[in-house]
Amino acid sequence: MLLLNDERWDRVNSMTGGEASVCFQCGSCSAHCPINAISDSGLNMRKIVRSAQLGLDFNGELWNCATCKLCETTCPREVGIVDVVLGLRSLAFEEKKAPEKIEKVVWDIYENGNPWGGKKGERSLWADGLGIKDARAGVKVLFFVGCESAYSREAHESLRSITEIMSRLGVDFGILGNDERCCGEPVLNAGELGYMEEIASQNIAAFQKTGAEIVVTASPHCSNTFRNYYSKHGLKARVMHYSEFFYDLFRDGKLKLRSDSISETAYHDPCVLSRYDDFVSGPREMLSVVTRSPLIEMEHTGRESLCCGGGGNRMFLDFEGARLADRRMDESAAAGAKNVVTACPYCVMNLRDSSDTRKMGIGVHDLAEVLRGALA
Amino acid sequence: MTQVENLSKPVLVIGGGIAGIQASLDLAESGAKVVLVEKSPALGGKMAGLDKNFPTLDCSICIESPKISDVMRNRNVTVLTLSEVVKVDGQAGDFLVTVRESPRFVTDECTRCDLCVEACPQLTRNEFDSGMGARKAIYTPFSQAEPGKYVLDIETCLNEPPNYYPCQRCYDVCQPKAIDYSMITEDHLIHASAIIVATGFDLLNPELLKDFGYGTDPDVLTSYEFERLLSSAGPTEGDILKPSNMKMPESVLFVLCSGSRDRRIVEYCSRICCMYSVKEAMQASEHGVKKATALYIDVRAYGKGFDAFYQRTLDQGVRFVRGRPADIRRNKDLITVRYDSTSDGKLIQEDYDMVVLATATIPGRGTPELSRILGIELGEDGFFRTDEANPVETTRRGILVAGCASGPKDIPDSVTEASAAAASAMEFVAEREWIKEEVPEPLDTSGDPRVGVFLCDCGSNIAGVVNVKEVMNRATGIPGVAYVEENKFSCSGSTQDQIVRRIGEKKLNRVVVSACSPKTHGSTFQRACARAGLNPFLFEMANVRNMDSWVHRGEKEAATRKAVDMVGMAVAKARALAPLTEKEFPVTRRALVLGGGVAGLSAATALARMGIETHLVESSPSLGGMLNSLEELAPAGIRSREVLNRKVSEFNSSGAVAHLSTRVMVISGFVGNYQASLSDGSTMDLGAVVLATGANPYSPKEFGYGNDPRVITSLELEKRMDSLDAGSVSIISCVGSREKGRGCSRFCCSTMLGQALRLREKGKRVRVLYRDIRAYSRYAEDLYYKASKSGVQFFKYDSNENGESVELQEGVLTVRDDLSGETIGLKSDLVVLNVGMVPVDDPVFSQLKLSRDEEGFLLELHPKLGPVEAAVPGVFLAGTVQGPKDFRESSVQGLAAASKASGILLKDRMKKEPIIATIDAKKCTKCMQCEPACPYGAIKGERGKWIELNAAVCMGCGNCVSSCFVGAMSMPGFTDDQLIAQIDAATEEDPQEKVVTFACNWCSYAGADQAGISKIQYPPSSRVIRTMCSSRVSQKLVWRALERGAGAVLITGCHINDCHYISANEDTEKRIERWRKMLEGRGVNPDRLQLHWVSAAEGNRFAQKMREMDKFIRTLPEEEIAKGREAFLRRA
Repeated sequence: MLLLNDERWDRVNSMTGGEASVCFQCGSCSAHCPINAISDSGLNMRKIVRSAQLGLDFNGELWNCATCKLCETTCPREVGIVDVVLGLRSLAFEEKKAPEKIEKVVWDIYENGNPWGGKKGERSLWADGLGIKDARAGVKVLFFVGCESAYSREAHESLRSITEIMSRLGVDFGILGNDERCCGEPVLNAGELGYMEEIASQNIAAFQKTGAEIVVTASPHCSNTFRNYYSKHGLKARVMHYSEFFYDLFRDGKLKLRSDSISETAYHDPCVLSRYDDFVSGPREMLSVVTRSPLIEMEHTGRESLCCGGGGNRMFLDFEGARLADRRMDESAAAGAKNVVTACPYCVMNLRDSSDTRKMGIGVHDLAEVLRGALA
Repeated sequence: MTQVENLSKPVLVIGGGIAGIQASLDLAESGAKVVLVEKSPALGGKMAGLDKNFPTLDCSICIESPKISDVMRNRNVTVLTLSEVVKVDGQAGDFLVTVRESPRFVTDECTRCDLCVEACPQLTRNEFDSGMGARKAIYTPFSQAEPGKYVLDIETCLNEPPNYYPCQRCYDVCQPKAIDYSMITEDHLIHASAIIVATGFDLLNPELLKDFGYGTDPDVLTSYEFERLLSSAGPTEGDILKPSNMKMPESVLFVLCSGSRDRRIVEYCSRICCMYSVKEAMQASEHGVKKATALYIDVRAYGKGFDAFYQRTLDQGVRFVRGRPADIRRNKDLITVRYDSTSDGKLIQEDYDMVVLATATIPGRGTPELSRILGIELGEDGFFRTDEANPVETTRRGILVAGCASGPKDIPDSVTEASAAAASAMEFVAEREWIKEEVPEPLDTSGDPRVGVFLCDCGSNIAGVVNVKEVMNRATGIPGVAYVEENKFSCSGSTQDQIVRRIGEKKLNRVVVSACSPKTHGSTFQRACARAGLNPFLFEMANVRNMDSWVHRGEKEAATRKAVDMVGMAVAKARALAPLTEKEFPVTRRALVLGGGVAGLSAATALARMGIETHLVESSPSLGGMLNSLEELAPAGIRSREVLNRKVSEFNSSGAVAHLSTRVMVISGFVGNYQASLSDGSTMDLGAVVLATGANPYSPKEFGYGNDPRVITSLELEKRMDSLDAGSVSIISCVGSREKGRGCSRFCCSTMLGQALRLREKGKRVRVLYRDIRAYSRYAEDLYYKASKSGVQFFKYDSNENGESVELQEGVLTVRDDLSGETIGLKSDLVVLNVGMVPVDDPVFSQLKLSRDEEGFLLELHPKLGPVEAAVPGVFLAGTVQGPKDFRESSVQGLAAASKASGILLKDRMKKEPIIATIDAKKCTKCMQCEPACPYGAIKGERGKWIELNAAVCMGCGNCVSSCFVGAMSMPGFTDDQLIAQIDAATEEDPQEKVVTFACNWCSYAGADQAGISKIQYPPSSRVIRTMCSSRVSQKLVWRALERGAGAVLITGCHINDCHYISANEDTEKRIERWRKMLEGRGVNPDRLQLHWVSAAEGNRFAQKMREMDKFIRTLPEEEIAKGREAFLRRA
């Protein structure tokens, strides 16, 4: 028999913002969860919410959640399920129950400014020789590179594409170079809320020094963190993911695109762009000019898109068994795609890895690279 | 065109579904004029499209169509179809309403010959079948549609009058030239005294449920579409077939809450879906679907008999799994569904052949526009806003609302509200008049019998099993038969008209209709006879559908032979019928309302406001009943005291008289003429009685209640709410309900949620232990949401006995929580037992010979369409005396009872069925054997000197006839001659293969009907003869059947204590015991005479007995039959 602990419930309730209370336990979330669809992982969103409702310890796979929010699209009670997960993670972190690797990520960010163990001095290697302005000199647009893109060689081409398009369109932009620090999303996902506040205030101060009116990010995870967390902590600048930034220019007629050689293309919506920020049609509008055949839609698309498996700090953990990226790439193959375009460095990495290791012959491209190739 | 402009101050009823129909009928009965406005071409509403109703399994259109016919034929009611209200001026008592009537393009000359439909080239989706079938541009919505004339849908028609006529095909083939393209839209100006809004509901477009596959997958259906599949008049003629391949599904998944209780779609509970899904799943299983599964969140089986019905469905092998599908996707030939089975935490992926979505009930499409026209407000849920204390009142005086227009409701709740709205509308009706149907000169029926036989196909219901042509041939040869014809649906308005015509043309003086049950349709055809000038008692029915074609589906030849016998029996009885005249009795125009709670107050106030002298008798010293014990009323959270004050002041100003601290000591009499003596010594003559004596809260023995001061009831909490020092409160629901034969108490979940929220707002830690949260009523789901949002914690336990999974020990409540799968301990300073209601007995009930339901609450006349009438005429039920209810429902039922009572009390005289015993003075020896046989004391006299029968008191059971040794007593309509004629006809051919079965009108005949409705198959050896009571079966009848060589005689009736004639069936039992001994004495196997009690609900029991009897007569040796014949012939 578990004796309910009132004080503990009070804490859980406040850490989860009381989000769990209205759940009537229908199980739509657990049945809809893409991670459960591919493996019997022990991740049961309904039970996570139930634990929060009662203030019980959750003994399942709290860290397996990709925070992709697919569950929230199906919830009849509109429960903020991911807020519940993050609240429970905070509690677990406080109680030293977080996985070791997650603790390490937080330490890495503390020590090196990134979760990958990369050196501070190598953060802007990608920009060598490109002559990009130091933002501290004062710019209109601050380009925030992000850790994943900065330290993953594969992603450098995407960064160079973004900056090339900006330059060609005459955007007044700059970067923070080696002084750029992690946006803190992994810290938030780890539940280390105290440190997260510190990161946010440091970054906000750094951004403000540049005088930038707009912060453009390479990763939608960064833009999402800025938009949904930093703005509550004093960030004044407008935040945009590069796909949103380019779409505005495209709509205004400034970014002109021509048909490129790419065809039989599907667009994969990153969770944070589609479900968190509701940005779904912009990339499609641009791509439909670029691709030679009509854009292909996969079974799960738009706000119902499937996660690549990289969200919610899963990038830093190892999971056995079937992979979300494989399921997603199988969907793209089933839909007849030869190319998959997306706009998130996690998605590019995971999907490309799935296609390559399984020799599917489907190209996975970053949207920025495709747009650069089609600049008119 | 209808002349409505000249009517003096009618009540305008908007909406011709069951609520609008019932409101119109009640108003007409009370002498009001009515204009009933329906926007579609036919009356009936949603109910007409349903196959069967829960939990009675009545055929929906079968029980609705008599009401439709009644309202169409009632001279006080003017029906306007294809019409809508476009403007309302004025105020209560004198509204000026503009009704716009669209052209039908078909005149009253239409004979429903269907030639136009064949000629029409234009197809479109059939709305009535929810688009699963097609119809032409000219059409009739359904077979029983009234008004019966066809309708032309000009949008689909190729013609565009007045200028463009490329197609005249229908016009050309129509012989009576009933098609008229010159018809135009007409506005009617009506001065209405009051308005009743009964515009019903619509169903959610299921394509909004993105993950559920509707619209893209042909085998994902809505419940309404499934209902049409089940209907024998539907697109598949009653077979469940997958639209994708027209094959029967092996597995069907029912998804409850499809769009309901979903904050993204509709936040409220749609209230009716749980039960219709339970019913549909049961029907699917009965149709042979191997795997019927339903996914639910809470099973809201809140009504009378609902839990028992749910349990029966489970016992039948239907699975109910708690969960909600995340995703419904086509996977080759099957549909894959994923859900979390929350009771065991397993994630399930299953394949089904068909998925049925219980789509949310939403406000009718025209609701916002109508609210603007009428100047009445809408509630947050989009339905019309109502007054909490009187839920049929809108925000504007003189405009009432009934049925689903003010939120989802099942049929009995809609019908009750309809009557309640009628009662409220009557307050504005100044002039009362009862326009009589013009009755033609009575036909002379003294000559030789000329019987007209009308054989109904009932679509395929009869004709699909019975060879109706063969029956027709055989019927033609029966002596006395002058005319025979076959009808597709004999009950449809146009066929009734045809029967009226045939009576004149063919000079018929007796009518036999071979169709369904006389219990549902007898009066319909009797009225048709009356319209032709034929005495309505020269009519007889053969119940071929319920007792033959539905129950012998696999034996077409035997079923046809049986139908021939049944028609023969009906003709034989018809030949022997004599005309009878309805008796009239004076009515005492005074009402007695028993009980001064919210129901009684509402009833008495409404009656008094109609100008009826009304007396309210309350045993306690104050008015208000349960309202006195409550502080706040859920779900709206209004103060009980406010409602009470309002009700009492309305009562005081109404002119009704209160007799406080008074009881009714003795009550006797009959409808229109009751006498009551009160405890204050006074006596009173009354015309009608409203029983509103309430119920008691369950007094618990569970959880140490009474010994432990920390355990209190929800009622005690109400009083102590403001003075609690407990920090943590745990509430246990369903204490004393839903176990040990008790059903759901209905009101308590809302009460509990309200209390939980109030406790939480006072800073308590609040835990609720529940089985299902049954927040079905308007705004209750919202209360559930608020309570959970406030931090009330909910634990779902599941067991039949509270003790099993919930325990209280030393301030810690232990519950096995289904949702987490854990056993959880809750430190509780206070434990609140949320108690339901139990019935209270009152000597008045037995004095009035009222029946009880299984739980002991008073039994209503019919669970669907007669929810406020008792089976005893002139007695009406209001509030919790009939079953648990909340204050809103009690208030509504009080008004409804007033409406029904006013139908009697507003007139000076009333009619009584002429089934009243007679004494043949020449034969009678005044032996007075009959005196004790009469359960009502209608026979008085002195042995050898005098005898008198009070016709007003006789109820027509016929027990006196069976008790008479000299054949001096007779029961019109069920005379010896008539019954013997039936026996003889039944035993004409192969008598040894027949079981002559007597069935009483109220229970066993209805039970046999029920076997048919449920399609329970049994052997075709029975030949049923209906009497009013089993006690009418006399020795003469039994002997006659055995003398004729019948294999066996079976007498059936109501169970002991359920007799509708008090205790007449106890005499039946004694007689049969005696007769069996006599048979033995004559060397006849006594088992050839048997007795079996069957209630109206026990279709299975009836069928089972029929199987047993069939087996029995098959084992009878030849000599046995002969022995029987001789035994009786010798003495004859």
